[in-house]
Amino acid sequence: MDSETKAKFVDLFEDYSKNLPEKIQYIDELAKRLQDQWDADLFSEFYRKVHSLHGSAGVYGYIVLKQLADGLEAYLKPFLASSVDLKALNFQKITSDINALKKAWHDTSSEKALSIFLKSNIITGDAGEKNEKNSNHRR
Amino acid sequence: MNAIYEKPLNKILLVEDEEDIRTIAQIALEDIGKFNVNYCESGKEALQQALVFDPDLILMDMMMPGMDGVTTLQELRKYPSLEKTPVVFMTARAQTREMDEYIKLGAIDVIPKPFDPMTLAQTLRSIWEKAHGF
Repeated sequence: MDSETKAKFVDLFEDYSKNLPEKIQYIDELAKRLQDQWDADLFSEFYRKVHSLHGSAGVYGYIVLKQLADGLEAYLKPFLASSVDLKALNFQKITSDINALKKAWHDTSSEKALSIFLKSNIITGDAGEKNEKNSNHRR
Repeated sequence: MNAIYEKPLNKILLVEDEEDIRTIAQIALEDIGKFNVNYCESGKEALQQALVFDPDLILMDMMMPGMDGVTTLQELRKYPSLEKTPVVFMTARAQTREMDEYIKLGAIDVIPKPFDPMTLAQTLRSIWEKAHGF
């Protein structure tokens, strides 16, 4: 990969990372709105946002976020079918999963995610795990 | 051997509604793969663009608002000029059974999400060559 392409990837990564909290927050808001009042279109949007996070987080190196979003998506997917009883939707579990997403975002080092994203040890060196523990966690 | 594959892979139509993924895939295909890439955000746009751009291959997200990937593929096949254009799906939640179903519906392969941006271009080349019988 040439330096120009790498710079483009790093820019994309930074944009994505900057917008991640907003994405998770929106998922949280949708879940709360659904809990207050059920709406099929809103549920579709909620599912799509979780699906989107699942797909994108992994691409950008946020592996734990990807795994958590995958789990939530797997839970939600059967409810897309019209024959499934929507009353069975467990909002306690959904809230817990969303809180786990928030925590994962908080705990994940962007340096480590970038390193995974670029498949290189240039950013964190061989001590990537150590750096993750010691890095400047957000907030 | 199908005549559609008897040339190097060059023109790719990327169909992805998620900007975060579309942009990175586009850079991966253009900058690393050196492909000629057009992109669009929906199945409806894909139908219009495919007719004009005449891609060698369509790389398409499965889950999109409006027309999903399968519906878009079925619509593409109604146009004689797109009847045999190879389609590769990208999907985040495909089980083996679903992947087999997509192949039966006419996709030549399925790339699971998250894909690796560093190897996406090579993956598509390999799929193309496999379809070509190299």
